[in-house]
Amino acid sequence: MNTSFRACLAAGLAGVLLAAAMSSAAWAHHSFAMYDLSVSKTMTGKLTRFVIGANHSQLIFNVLEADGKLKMDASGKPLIWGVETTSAAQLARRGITVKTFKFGTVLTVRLHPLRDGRNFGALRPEDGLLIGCGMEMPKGGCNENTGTVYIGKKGE
Amino acid sequence: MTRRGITFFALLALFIVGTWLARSTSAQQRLPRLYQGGSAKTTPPAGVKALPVDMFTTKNFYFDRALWTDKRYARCNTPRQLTDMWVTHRVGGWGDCNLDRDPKDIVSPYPYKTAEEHYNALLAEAKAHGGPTKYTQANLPRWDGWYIRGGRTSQWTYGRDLQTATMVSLLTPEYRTRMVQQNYHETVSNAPQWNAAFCYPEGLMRWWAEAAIRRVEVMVTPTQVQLLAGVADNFIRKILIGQKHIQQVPQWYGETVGFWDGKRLVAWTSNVQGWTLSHSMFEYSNELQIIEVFTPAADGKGFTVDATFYDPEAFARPLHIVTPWTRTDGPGDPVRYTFVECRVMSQIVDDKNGRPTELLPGDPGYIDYFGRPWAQDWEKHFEKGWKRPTN
Repeated sequence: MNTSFRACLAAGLAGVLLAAAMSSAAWAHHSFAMYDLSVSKTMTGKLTRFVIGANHSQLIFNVLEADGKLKMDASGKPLIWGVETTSAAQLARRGITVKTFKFGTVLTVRLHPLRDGRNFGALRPEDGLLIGCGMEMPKGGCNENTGTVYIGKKGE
Repeated sequence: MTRRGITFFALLALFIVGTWLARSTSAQQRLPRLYQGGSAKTTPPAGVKALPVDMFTTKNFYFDRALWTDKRYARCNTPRQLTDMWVTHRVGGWGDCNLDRDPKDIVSPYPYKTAEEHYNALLAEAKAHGGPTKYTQANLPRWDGWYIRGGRTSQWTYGRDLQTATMVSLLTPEYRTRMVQQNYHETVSNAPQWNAAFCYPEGLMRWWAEAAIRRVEVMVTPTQVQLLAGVADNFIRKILIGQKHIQQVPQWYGETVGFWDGKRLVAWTSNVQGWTLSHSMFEYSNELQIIEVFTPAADGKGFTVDATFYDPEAFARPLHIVTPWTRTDGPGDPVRYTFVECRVMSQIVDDKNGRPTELLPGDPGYIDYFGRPWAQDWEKHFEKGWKRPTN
């Protein structure tokens, strides 16, 4: 077997292994039937809690207006939303840890909301979006041009 | 083109083909053939006549008992397809009526009526050639390490490759009712009640569920074989070598005793708490007893687990499955068993309409685990209006 052929074989094998690793399925521990997967909502908020979980992590945030001020609910309290993501380990592979997403981080998410209308949703890697914009709302808002896209693709 | 250029493009082509092949294979594994057969159409496929009443048109499924074992009652959907109906946007859609599993592949091939009879027969077999085998720390089978279950397309417990009616037909009347109740409320009511969502115990049969187990860590000592597993790392099972069942109280993962017959490990689990496999499959009772035979693979890279399920209260006949386990890592590899407190990562409850929903900070019942919840309680109830020194 010559060197080139061995190299080709190794590269092919590497491709197979890499692709297999990339396509490892996410493991849900609850049904996603509670979310309306036909609806997407995008919103910007300030992180108040980061619950790191083995199967799903959660980001809880106060929703922000376009100018960076807190958005209030009907009773005059800060409007709170939450979103669940993939597992803590998968987030870490994308560079999302408690160190990178400290409390107070400005973030933008695209999520599928609960069917029952409560302020919570699911962010799936295949169609969700998570952008981190540091501790202050950037000029022009927190978006793919002003922040770091951790989940989702630029230009979507 | 230079030789180097040809080599580069050959490498690139192989990488792309390899990548495509792997992703294609993986996609097929994620979506087995029956799953792909599901349609969003609520009219039956050509050649199939819908029942006058089925799960999606009934006013009360309890009165349709005579139809439950007709595959058209669930519109030819597999249990997994029923579970996924709301997520895949095909509520009431028809599955593939031609795809199914022969019940002979699900029921036990052995002549035994009880787990005890099965265990004693295997024990007698071991004794016939001088067993059971006694191992010391020095000569134990070197099974310590991490394993992953295989045979995904052959695991009927995943509910992906059999008609719902076929599974129902293998249950006793009461447990048929319970399964159809579950099927109906997962699909028509959209009220799935998955154990881990509410941090309920998984229950022993979930050991054979698709997503409850990812990898299994095996540790062997002369007196026991310990199995740790679970996507939330919440399964702990111990096979106590040479022991007898003594617990009189049903437990979530039962009480397991066993013996070695050469390199083969035989285990008998009893004293099991009845629970549910969920995901539109079946419930089982406290009568469940399981015989597992672990046989090393010829290539030394794992073993097969031959499991026979005896539950005369729930199963019309003993059921059976064979699962290959492949060794992935040894005890010295950088893999860690991380115990997970389920409740911390899931604050799911049933909403006022009986469907799962998530609690948010401030909702009654929400616990702020990362905000010293004990102190929050003291400060709210016992320190109202208190000031603290500023220095």
